[in-house]
Amino acid sequence: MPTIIVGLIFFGIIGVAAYKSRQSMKNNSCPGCSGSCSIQEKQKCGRSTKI
Amino acid sequence: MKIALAGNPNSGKTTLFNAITGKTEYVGNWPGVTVEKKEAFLKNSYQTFNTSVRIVDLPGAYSIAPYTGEEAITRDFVTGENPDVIINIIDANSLERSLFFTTQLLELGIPVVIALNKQDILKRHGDAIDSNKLASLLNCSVVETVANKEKGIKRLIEVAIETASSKSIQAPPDLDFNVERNEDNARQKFTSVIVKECHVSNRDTNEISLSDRLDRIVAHKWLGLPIFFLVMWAVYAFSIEGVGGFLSEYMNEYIFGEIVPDAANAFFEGIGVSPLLQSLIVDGAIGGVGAVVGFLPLIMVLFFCLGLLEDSGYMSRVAVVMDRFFKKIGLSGKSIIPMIVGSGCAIPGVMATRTIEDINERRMTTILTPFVPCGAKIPIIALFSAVFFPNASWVGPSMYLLAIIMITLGGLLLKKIFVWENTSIFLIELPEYKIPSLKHATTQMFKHAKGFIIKATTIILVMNTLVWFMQAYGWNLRPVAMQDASILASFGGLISPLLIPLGFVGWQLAAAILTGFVAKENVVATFAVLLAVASEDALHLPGGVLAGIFNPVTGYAFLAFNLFTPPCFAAIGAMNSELGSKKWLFRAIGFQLGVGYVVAMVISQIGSIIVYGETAIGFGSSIFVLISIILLVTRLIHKSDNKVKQILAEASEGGI
Repeated sequence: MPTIIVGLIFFGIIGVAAYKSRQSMKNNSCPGCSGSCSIQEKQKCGRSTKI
Repeated sequence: MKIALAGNPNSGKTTLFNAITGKTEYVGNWPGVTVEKKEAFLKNSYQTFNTSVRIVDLPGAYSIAPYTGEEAITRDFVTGENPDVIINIIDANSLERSLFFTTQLLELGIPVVIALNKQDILKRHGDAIDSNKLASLLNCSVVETVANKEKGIKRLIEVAIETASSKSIQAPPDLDFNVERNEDNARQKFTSVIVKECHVSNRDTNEISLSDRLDRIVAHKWLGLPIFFLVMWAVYAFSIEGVGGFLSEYMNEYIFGEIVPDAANAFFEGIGVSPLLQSLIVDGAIGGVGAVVGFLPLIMVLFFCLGLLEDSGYMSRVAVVMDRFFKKIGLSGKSIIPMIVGSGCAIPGVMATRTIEDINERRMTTILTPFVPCGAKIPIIALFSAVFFPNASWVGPSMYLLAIIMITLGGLLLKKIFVWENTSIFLIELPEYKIPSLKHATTQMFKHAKGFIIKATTIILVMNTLVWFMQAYGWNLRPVAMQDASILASFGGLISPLLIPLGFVGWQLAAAILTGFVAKENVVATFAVLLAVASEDALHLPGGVLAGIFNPVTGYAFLAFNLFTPPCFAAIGAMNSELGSKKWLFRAIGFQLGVGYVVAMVISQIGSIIVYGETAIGFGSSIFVLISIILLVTRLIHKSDNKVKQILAEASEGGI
């Protein structure tokens, strides 16, 4: 039982960390979205910031 | 309501933005720090009306006609997104130059409020600007501010909101285009007249200021570079050998070496958790993340020192010093700004390359910027310094020296392969030296610390859980008795033969290199997981477990390998956006891999001969690889030369 509870908590944390990592990787790789820009900007990111 | 902050570079827009929104966007005492527009809501303490106010910080621009990419972002916003009011931030010490852009903003019809910023410096010089007269001449409100001390900000916001609420249409300035046909000349004449009427200067123009005197030494053509190294040495010595290093050692040795794992083990044993899950959490998650978080004090001290340095105005001088060296390789001082920004993180560094107009120079800077040691590489440098070079403060600065050497040589090579001549001229407005703000340095320090902790508790935690699983299990998904039979060993084993010419032996090294591509800190964390499971010896101690797979020379070569090989995936994503084509991205990755490989190989093999009097493992294969690379590079240069000859021949046939 303790193994199941600790396992659930631990893998729950890993799940959240994995989700957040994915989000941050997505934002970091997209220059227009790396700052505090608007949702609209994030949606058209990549097109609006091209030189 | 939408308020746009616009003005010339380094006029204090982002400082104002941070003050009125409570954000901590990157601020630097040099032009071209902001390359993206940033948005946030006005913070409550400045909220005087019952309206939601959105503030947009725009990149600096000298003119509404864009010259660089980030100026285009500013132009597009002010002309296309209809802000309710534009706050035009003007550096009061550069009034005439700033007003050129102001006259263009005033013609848009959008209400403009001028923030006459940096009043403190103006007054220190004994100068004054009649802001009432300026307001009447320009037909707009003018508020005197000192953004970094939050003086005049409340009044500025009140005036801006009142102006926006009035829905008035901005009257254009009284420019006479009939007398002066050239539009730019008309604007310049107009601004000169305004400055004459409003600006009272008591300054003796012949007087040499303290900044000028300091620049004669700091930006001297021969002394500039040695001074830069001395400064970086002092920063690293203070960070690694001083309080940062001491606290990191304590955290690595006791907190994450004994206290936390012992407490976790005791807790899990007490409640009867399975040994496998216990090992996953303690050795994998806590061991891996702890090995990285242990370097937090060192990172904080380092970024505090770099924050002080940035705010003092010194970094702009570095750009001037480097300009003459960079010119020889097809770059200019403009390239140094992305590289300085890249010393914090390669991603904003790569993004900052868009301030460079010349496409070739921009591409080259994008490829070379990740060579500068970023914050993520600091834990690797600190770990290897502690294990192989204890009490030696030269290792960190030597990485900067090596980076500058490789940027120079790499630049020359790129110039040869992708033949071009850089004709761009580097002009930079040197900000006056100032006593650096402790607040700025502290903000930067905590911002980097927060980012470091977020990274450690997200991507590094996930990767180390995965690494622990892959080193504990075989392909049949059953626990293995020996790590050598694990999934990770088979992955590492695929790559490790390629590392033999570098004198690197062992699948563990290959596994650490692989995880390092996700985030560079993972190199340290992977070693912590792999070696902590396999051995009881501490990772960070001199002569510890790392000494079993490296000697000081191959350890230093491994540092160089991690410094020059491609950066993390997120930075590669930023490179992809800035380079604008997959072809150039693959060229960049190939070039970085080649440079990292060759530099590590040369250090490892030649270093071993010099230090130990014998070659490192894989000497024969290294000679073969080196010859192959030389032949490949020669062929590429030859191909480029032929291409140039062909173009010239076609041009002469066509009579051009």
